[in-house]
Amino acid sequence: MTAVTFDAVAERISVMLSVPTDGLTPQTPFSSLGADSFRLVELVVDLQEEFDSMFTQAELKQISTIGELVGLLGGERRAESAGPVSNASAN
Amino acid sequence: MTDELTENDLWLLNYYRSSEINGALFFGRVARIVRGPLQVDVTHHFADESNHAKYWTECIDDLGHVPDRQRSAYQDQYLEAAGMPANLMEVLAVTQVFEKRVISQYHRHLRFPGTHPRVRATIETIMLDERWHVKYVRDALLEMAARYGGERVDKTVEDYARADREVYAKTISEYGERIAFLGDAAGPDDEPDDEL
Repeated sequence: MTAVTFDAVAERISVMLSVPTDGLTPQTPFSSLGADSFRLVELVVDLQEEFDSMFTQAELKQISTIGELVGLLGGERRAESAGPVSNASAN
Repeated sequence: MTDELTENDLWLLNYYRSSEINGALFFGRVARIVRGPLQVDVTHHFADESNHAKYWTECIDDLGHVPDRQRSAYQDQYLEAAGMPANLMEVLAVTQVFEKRVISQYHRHLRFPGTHPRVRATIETIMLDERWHVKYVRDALLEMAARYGGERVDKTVEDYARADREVYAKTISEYGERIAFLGDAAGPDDEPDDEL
């Protein structure tokens, strides 16, 4: 299993989204990566498979930066307020 | 749907085609990231979805029409309501629910006695693949219980099934007149078969 470090995650993001690693910091928001939502799904699933980690949609919704993503991949747990379809009933 | 396609017949075939294209694009991404033994089945699934889009394109062409680009497919509304899956188990859970919905809709179309023979043949060909999709995904989800927890897997499938029912009801309310020709076979009460 690959160790979960910021550099390892940033390298993976760089390859998958074709963005330079030197432009990525722990504070970089996902919204600045220029990826559509399907691409982001592909990225987060790939990262979990690569780092043998697991988190849910509910946990993912609570984070917005690469640093927070590294934390989730490293096993930091977030309180789960809802299931994977929490916004379904709101629509 | 007998000799001549009506505007609504054609709309529905284009809707199917568009949904299959979106399915192929989605599963192409999944095939790119999945690891281990699932690579074989997921890549097969990706190829099937692409072929289904080809079958519908050929069907529409054979019936003398040009496939029309639709602005959105069922999946677009579906993922908007259900939320994007965040891990491989959630990807397969949403796939399981969606594939059952597809089979249910194709069943309805087959039950309509006026279905054009060319359309019927296309659906029957696709259905062979769809049944396998449900089976391999169900088996994969059972295996994933060890990693994600059986309770979490069951809850995720239930949550996506609830979202699916909401989106289907919304789709029927928006496009009901388009598929009214299917008659009773198009009723919203006909839910996907849990035993598939």
